[in-house]
Amino acid sequence: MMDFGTLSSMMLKITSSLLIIALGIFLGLFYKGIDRKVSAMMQSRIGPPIIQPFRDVRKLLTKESIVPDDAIGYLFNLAPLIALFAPLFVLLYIPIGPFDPLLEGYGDLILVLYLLALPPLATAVGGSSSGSPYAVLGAQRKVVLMMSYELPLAISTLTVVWKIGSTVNDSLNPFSLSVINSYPIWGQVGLLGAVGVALVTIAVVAVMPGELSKEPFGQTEAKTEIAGGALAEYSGRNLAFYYMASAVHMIVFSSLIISIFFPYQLSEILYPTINIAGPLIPYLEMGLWALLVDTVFFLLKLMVIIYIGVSLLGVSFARFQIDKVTYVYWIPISILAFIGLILVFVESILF
Amino acid sequence: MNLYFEIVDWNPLFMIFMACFVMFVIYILYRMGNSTYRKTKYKGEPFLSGNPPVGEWKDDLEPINIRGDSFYWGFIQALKFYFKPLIAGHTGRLNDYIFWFIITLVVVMVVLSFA
Repeated sequence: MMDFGTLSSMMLKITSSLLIIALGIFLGLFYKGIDRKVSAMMQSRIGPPIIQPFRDVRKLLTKESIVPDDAIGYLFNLAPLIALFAPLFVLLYIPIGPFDPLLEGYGDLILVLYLLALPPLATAVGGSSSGSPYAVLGAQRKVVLMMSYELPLAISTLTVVWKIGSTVNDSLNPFSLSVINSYPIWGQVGLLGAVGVALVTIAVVAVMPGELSKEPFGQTEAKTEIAGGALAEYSGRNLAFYYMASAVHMIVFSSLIISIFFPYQLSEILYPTINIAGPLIPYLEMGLWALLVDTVFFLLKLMVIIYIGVSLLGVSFARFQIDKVTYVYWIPISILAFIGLILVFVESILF
Repeated sequence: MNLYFEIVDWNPLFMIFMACFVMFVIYILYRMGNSTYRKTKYKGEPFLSGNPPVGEWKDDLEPINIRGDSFYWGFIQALKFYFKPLIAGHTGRLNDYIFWFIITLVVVMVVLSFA
């Protein structure tokens, strides 16, 4: 039998999760709008207004969802739901600005990395089940893309986790995102290790466009080539869900990068004497403005990460061929991440 | 209800409950979208730009779909320096497989003898 405290804490979590879901979708679409506007301006175009993604979703939700005759209906309709579910669920495991993860203690970084593999798989399943050759080609590319970026992503995250695990108290779980957040990796390493962590950070930022299927790794949709790829046959609310899923995925992955590599809060610098490495309560002592400052700082960090990982890379590079994608991720970027791992390891052995 | 590991304890039931809750919220959102679909003659045909009309062509779709063995094409193409010798090793002759089995066995035993 559960006591009242446990029950009320669960009710609080359920209510908060609703708020986080709404916030995740809103922020995702908002930043997508900013990304589209900034990318357009970098290409000397006017670009759509920032609220365009909201209009797109609203419009798509009113259109009818066509299911192709050759499609496997239930898979075709289920895939967009799974694609949106996974990043929204991951959002409950990631520290949002100054707040600890909502589901802290109910899963850690390993679960997050597994859940992040779900949206590409859902896209691949949806594409394969739609009975269109373009979509099957897009699905094939999605699977290849995922197999390509998982290696550098795994090396990079394990480097951080291993280093934090070897320095912090044995009773702490180094895979827990709140532990990673409380012990920033840059404070755990010396000069050599910092170079290693910098290389690993570059590798993860390079993984970002692949994870989100953005240029130069937009082969999955490649509208000029394979007519939208895995999403070629999708329309209406199904397409709206994929659209929202890609927006939320962008927020989730950027937040993950922030919580692993840049977890610093602005109020720590403004009020260095107060220990804020904890949940909400210490903030109430500090006043609401500290909460506000850190939240705004988090949103700014999010914007910078999205600008570098999505807008800047997307505008600067042309789309790779699909076999070059695997080459780029498995050879140069994986080697970069591996050198980072070795530098961090060597520093731990020597010093 | 909690599972205890060396440094972690967690409650998988609550995790699954929350996953179901998130899925439920998403389903509510999904239901808010337009669910109508008025079927017309060519609406359900797959989109094939530049090809002959699909209606006359539909029975011949198989050659333009991707075969299972081509699913990882880009991956194998990029790492062919690694896959090429592996694929060449799969000759289909039983003698060759037994040869590789014995070689592997020898290597494992040599490694184990040093360990």
